[in-house]
Amino acid sequence: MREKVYDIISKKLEMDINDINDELRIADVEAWDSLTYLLILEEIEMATGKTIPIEKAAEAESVGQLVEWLEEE
Amino acid sequence: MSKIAVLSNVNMDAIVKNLQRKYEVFSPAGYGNVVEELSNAGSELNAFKPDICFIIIDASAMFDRYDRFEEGAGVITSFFGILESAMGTNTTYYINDLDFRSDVLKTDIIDNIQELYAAEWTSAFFEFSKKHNNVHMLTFSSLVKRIGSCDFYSAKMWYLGRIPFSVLGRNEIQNEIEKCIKLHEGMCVKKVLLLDLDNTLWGGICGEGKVILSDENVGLIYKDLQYVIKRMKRSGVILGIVSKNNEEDALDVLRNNQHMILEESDFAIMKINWENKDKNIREIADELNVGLSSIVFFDDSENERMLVKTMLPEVTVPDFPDKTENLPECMVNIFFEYFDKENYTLEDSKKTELYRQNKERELFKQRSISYEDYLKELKIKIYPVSAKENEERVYQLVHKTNQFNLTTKRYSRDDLHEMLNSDEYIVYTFDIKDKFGDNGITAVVIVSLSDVAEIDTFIMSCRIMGRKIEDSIIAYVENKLKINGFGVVRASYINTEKNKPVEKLYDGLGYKCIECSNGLKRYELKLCDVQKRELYAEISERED
Repeated sequence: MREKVYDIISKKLEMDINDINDELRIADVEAWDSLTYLLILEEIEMATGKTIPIEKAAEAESVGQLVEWLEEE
Repeated sequence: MSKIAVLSNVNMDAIVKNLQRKYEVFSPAGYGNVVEELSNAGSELNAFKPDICFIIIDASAMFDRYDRFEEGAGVITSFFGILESAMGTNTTYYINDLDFRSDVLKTDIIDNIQELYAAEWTSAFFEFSKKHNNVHMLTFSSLVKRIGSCDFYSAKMWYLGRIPFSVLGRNEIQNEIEKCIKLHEGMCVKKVLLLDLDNTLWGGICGEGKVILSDENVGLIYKDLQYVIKRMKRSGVILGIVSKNNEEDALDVLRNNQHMILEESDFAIMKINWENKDKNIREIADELNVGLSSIVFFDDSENERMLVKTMLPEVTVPDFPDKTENLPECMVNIFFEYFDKENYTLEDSKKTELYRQNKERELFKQRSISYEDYLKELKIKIYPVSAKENEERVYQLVHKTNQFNLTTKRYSRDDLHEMLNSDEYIVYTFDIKDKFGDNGITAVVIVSLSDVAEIDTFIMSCRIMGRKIEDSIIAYVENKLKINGFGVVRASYINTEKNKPVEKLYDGLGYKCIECSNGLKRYELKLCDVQKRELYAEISERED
């Protein structure tokens, strides 16, 4: 799950996958704007077949949260 | 290459981003600014001078707020009125037909309001496109129909980002836009459709005495396919046959089978023989005097398709459907993809008739209003609200606003919290409403206070850009500072990749540039000589 999420994020943001970790905060990545966030969310949900409830999705701050929420589903 | 503009009342950024990989595309900063961009002569859109302008209207976002049909109908009238006065003659416009994302609750007053809006829109469109041959319809509802409303739209994307469409929906829209661009450039117009016979125009193999063509099950599929092809011929497609058969067997079916819809005379050329098909096709191109690139070849045999693709790469060879029942639809798609012309929708008088019957309607009123009148009509109201009570939203705006963000300072939660509780800063926060509804808290101004007041941060959400709201907000802030005894206000613009739209904001507001270096511009304004500005939004201090 975590690898899949990292993989999608690194591709969408054109970042080295080794620079992606759970602690990475969305606000700290310049390229990670709200549109990119939505496209990442959408792709993660499709790739994993899981959905993050919108209440959580709207509040995401870090990569780790996304992974954690997907694992909860 | 064509210059493309995309205007919408919803967030099209994801689609625009993809299109920008292939085309020069302009889309206004912020969304919802369809009429604003069109009517504002000084807008970036008008400076861009697009060859093709796509106007994509999300029906639900535009109409679901109205309870009375007349209100929504007025919006339609004024939309086409503004378009009429603002449109450029060198630009081709594609405007979609309406599709509603979900049903509204039916009331006893009016029970089919969405259908009425859709009909009103379409009839207004056809009236309009009759007068302007540079206006065409982008048939949006058929895109939705193709994959189904549930898969086309995404409620989650809508609520999170004002993107009504799922990734599937966005792909459909993007493909359609690209198809329209190709249509416009005349790139996809093919002239000749070459058809195989056995298992293509009819089922079975005529040489073996078996022809499936009838009014029942599988036979009907082929008959329906022939109806489609017949219509294509009527629209100007040149038909030809390339088939490996004994000529007399094939001609016998063509001439004598009672279920044949296509007749021998419908075909401009026939090559029914045992030669290789690439050779036949080359001869046809010569005999009809058309280029190989204007030929589409349709055959059920994968081998034949491969051969033609390999030997004659200029010839277009569409896939043959896996399921026989999809043949007629497949041919319709081939028509739209390769033979459609930009002007069909215009002359599609039948469609017009159909929509006309839907209801009695007022004659389309021409109403040209100026951008300024439009802004006045919007009745924009700005409500200053407490920043402290909306800390989370302020944080969000500080971190996620790129375009209308003069200095792009991304304060941390802690910093922001401190600023909100400090005497050295004032954080102004605004809730913006207009007659169409509430935009929510969408503007923040942070002013640092020392000897002089300095606008440290000025942010507006892209969804309210382009309505001169900033002018009123700045006037409000200046006024507050003046009351508090400040004589001078300073401001700055720090250039980023994305905030170009506001590069000249302070210049336009009469601020004096006092320093300009390396992407940083600093400004000053003496509050005693603020020039008179025309303001379109009203500030309304709410009593809580």
